[in-house]
Amino acid sequence: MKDQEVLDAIATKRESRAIHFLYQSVFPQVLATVQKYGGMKHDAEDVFQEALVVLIRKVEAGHFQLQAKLSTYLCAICKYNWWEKNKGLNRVELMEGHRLTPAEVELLEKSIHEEAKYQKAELAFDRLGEKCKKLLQYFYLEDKSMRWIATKLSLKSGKVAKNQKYKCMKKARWHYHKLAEA
Amino acid sequence: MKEEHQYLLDAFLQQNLREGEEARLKELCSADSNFKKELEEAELILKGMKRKAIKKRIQKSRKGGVKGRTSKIIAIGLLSLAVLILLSRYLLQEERTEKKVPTEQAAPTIDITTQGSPTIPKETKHKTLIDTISKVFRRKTSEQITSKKVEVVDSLSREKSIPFKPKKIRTQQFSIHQFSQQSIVGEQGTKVQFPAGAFATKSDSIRIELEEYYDLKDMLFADLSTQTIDGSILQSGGMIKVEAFDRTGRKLQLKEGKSVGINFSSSEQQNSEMKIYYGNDSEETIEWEQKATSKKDSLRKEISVRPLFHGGIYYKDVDKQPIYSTTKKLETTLNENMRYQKQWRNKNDIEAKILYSVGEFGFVQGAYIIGESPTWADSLVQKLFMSLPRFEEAGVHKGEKRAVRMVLTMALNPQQEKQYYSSNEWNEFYDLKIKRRNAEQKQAGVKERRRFLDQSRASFQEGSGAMEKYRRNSERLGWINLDSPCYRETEVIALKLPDSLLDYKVRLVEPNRKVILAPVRSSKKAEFKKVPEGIEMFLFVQKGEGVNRSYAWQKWKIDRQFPEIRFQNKPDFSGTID
Repeated sequence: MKDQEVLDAIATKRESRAIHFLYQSVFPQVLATVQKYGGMKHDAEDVFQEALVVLIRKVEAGHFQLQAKLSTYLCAICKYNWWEKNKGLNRVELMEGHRLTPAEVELLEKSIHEEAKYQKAELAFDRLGEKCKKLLQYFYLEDKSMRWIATKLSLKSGKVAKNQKYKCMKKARWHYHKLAEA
Repeated sequence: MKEEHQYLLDAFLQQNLREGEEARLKELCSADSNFKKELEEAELILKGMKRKAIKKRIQKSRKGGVKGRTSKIIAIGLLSLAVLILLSRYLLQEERTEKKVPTEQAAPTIDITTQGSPTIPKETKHKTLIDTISKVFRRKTSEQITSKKVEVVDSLSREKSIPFKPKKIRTQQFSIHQFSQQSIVGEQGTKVQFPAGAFATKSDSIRIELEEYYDLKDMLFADLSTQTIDGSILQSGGMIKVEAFDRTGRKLQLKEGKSVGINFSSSEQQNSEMKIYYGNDSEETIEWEQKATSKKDSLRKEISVRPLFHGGIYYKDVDKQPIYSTTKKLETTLNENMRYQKQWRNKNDIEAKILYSVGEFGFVQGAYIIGESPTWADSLVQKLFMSLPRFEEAGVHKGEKRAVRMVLTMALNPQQEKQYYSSNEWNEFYDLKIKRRNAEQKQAGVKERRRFLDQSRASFQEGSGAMEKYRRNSERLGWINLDSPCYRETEVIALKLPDSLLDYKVRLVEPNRKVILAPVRSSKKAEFKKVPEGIEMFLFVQKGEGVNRSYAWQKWKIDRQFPEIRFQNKPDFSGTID
């Protein structure tokens, strides 16, 4: 698959084949790098998944322009992530040869830092109960009506669901605070 | 939070802000820092949710990809395997067709043709390939359905050169505790009862191996015969091989004076003339003798075995169970109410069903374990039940007072609390309870105690009585045959095996009586010691071993002259000899 085809597939949410392709073509390079710098296979899997999350988020947000090759971009994110996890490593040595422009590197670093914040938010969301999680997902991600959600989650009415949603969001924020403080 | 704030926050997060709403939101944020903070945090949470959703998508895509790849590999593998099977089968058949004629012609004086014609016309080769393909894909070709010729060709295939595959008798394994009386029941119904302390070993756990031969074919293909060491003819009611091993794998024999009780599962067990015979390995088969010449165990030591007395026992509150008198209700009681709960069960528990009767004044009259049980358990159950207090609604059935019988399932544990239950204290306690209860019972004026006690006992014996009646005792383990002599009034003759058959396995078989005779071999000679003259039997010959073996057989009314053998050309052995 060409890089553009991969990006198009992700943009249209038909990314299954594209992701599989990336795992086949890029992941071995990432694995080699991580293993070279003292990591294990599961570490490589973690950083590669992070890189894919960044990529998908960027593509879905629109206006994603890439001068370098996609594999280079993904490898660079992985390397940077691996360096973030192992600050003792020589960053210059680790990041050399990525062929990204300084602007791209800057953007990349910014994205990774943002992702760290989102990671905490994800953890906070994860700490909610199953019912809360479903309620928020139905409302914010799947755009379902409160009435529909009330029926689905066996709540008395849409109004109850709305109150419940507010409480759930409040609880998630509370969890996020706790995580941020820690 | 105000309604408007909440609305704007949701609209912002869902990216649904209308005209003017965006400005209003900005305004609110600049005016209310708390709201601004709340908005930012909610946005973060939403990003976290999205992140989780993306991760799920990635994992799903990855798994889907791997799954797809794996299934592709499996599909390719299966296809290649199918092609390989097809090719090999086709090539084998071709090879066989070419070699068939010279092999069969090379047979000795007596021509042993196992199956059908040895040649296949050229055109049928293609049919064979088509048939093989259809077999692989489990589909019949139209030719197979319409033409019987195809079946003939099939019977010539390598598989069919063995008329059928005799099933191999499985060695069944059991584990028993040797310090209590225990029984095993084989897959074909043989029951072997081991007395407590039957083996001369300290090991409590004994591994028992059992093989059962009731079918004539099983006997035939296990190289068994039915003749005594001196050649007398026997008819079989079933053969078993039972062996015992300790933890180290050492083969054990029964202690002197101990015997195992065997219930064979054939109808012949009811024939009182059928006796136990013990098998000894000879060169070609097993020869039987009636006397148990026990193989002495070199490591035998006298070990004092203290029989178990009482075991742990758990039961549901018996006095709170409903009382029923009909058989149907007994079933219901057993299944719904009286099954003891699983969480009460221990690893070594034995499940026992107890039949007990309650007299019209509510006292337990008798309690017995249904089926066979060790003495300690019987005694324990009796004591427990007889010491129960009076039932509140005892014996009330359809408005009138009468005695009823019930079934209760209990867990008995011979290992647990052994010491406790064997102590005098325990016995004294229950004896006292029974004494008190009996006194109460007397006062209540119950007179029919004996009658129901007898009734309960009779119903218990009804089940186990038949088993006891037909049980045979065996003083040793190993090959054991339920046999009786036959053809006692027929003249028996000796038959020398022709030289042409010396290299084959030859048997004389009488399927109805389950008689299998084998020749006794000495240097370059083989002879049937005693065969009944004038009796029609099957002459059965096996050539080759393993996958290359083939069989032939024919009916023969036995006379002094060995027949000229013309083997039948039948596709299925079982139809001929059974």
